[in-house]
Amino acid sequence: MLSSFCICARAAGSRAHACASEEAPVSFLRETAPLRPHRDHGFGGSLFCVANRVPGRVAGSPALLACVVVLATDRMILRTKRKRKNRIMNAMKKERIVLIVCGVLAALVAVMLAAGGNPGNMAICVACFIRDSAGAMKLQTVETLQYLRPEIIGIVLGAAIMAIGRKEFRATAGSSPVIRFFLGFIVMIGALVFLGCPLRMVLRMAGGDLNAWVALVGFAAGIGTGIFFLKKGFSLGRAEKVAKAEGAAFPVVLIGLLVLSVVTTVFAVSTSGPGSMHAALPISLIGGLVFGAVAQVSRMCFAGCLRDVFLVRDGKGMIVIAILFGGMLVYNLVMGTFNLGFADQPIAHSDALWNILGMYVVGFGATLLGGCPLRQLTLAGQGSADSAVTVLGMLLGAAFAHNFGLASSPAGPTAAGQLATVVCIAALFVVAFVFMKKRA
Amino acid sequence: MIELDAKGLFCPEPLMMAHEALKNHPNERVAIEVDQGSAKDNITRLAMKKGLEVSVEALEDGVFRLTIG
Repeated sequence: MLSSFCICARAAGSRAHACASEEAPVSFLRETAPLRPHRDHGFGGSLFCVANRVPGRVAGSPALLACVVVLATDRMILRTKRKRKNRIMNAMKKERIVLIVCGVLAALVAVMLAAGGNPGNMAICVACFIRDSAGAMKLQTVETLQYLRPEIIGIVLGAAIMAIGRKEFRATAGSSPVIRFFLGFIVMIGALVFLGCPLRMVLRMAGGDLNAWVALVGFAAGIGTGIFFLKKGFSLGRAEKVAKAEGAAFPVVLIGLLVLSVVTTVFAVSTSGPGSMHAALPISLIGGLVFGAVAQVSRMCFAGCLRDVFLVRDGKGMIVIAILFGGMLVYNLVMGTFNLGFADQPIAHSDALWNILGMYVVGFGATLLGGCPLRQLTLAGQGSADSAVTVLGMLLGAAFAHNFGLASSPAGPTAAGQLATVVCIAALFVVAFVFMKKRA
Repeated sequence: MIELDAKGLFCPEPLMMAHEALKNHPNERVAIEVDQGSAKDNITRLAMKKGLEVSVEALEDGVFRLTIG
């Protein structure tokens, strides 16, 4: 019912207003309320206005007072909202700065390691370095691929130190460890068919290696497949809290291996080939420590960054990786090692199909595991025994890949490697199906 | 208040739980316990993108309780 007269109050910029009339002393209207009866009051934007459609009659002062109270409350709500928005903006800005700093540090480490003597486009490849470490421990005996890479140990320890410092270290275990072991194994086979983990894929992309850009398609498709199953309820189950020693065992054993590699000659070291190309021990170790710390803080994950874009349109994870890519691109351009093309790329082959399928395995497997090989190292440092088991699976996978001729060479993929890739894809689908369950 | 327990879950399951809860209960506060820093960060980011504030409380070793809204 139209009132003969009313008083309206509205805060500037607010979409709500208060109205008092003879029929209804005070009503507080939100934007959803019909505004028609008040349309001709012209209250838009003004602090408050008085409208009197019947000349000679004025609103009672209690109604006016009520209006002003409502108005003041409304302004207060607005101010609180604005403050909250500012706080959120500040928090987001702060996070962005942290990620940028992490990206710059990661890029500096990669450049330092590349310049220090690590093989071409390999600076800090997790798959390659686990493979070389498997060689050092004689789990595989390819003479050119043997060196206990301090970077791997550094990453785990760097992440551990950072996690303890930030009170994020938590010993957990029990999220389908055997399946994770095999998934780690499978991911490594895929990586060695392509010749690199996702981290090296990005480094190769920054070196102008177009094969890596092709492989990115397979990697993204693998992540997409993983997300499909995650949305269907795929889960490897919960890890439970366990004794601290269980979470600390892996990093501690790595320290032992590092000490052994320094004070004894038990581990094999290549005298030629990629295994012989490495930065000096202190550079590798410090580089690894910094990289691990940075990965812990920034949650760097090459699978996760794409996954979160697909899943919730969150591209923040890309920041660190984009800076790493940019840093290596500049380094390659400056050093003259940027070589745009498919042919003659360092330690790479140009068989598009198997590059794509190899990285498909890595993307799919990493999504089921909850993170790329680098992320598994970081999590192992943070106390996840499940991730430590995954890394051990990768170690064994690397040994198998070379002992049974599954790994590709610059000449291309092997027949056994192609067969293994197909089997790995089938196995990933089986795991994905078996562990699918309705979300509670 | 919706209470969720995402402890022990790997990425992106905690994020997906929070995402679903925020979608299905837009006007309710959501509290979620996580034990991975990455989950803490990406859930916080998800909430902030929706214009919601998040308070983070550190519980016993490595567990965080996030209250959204």
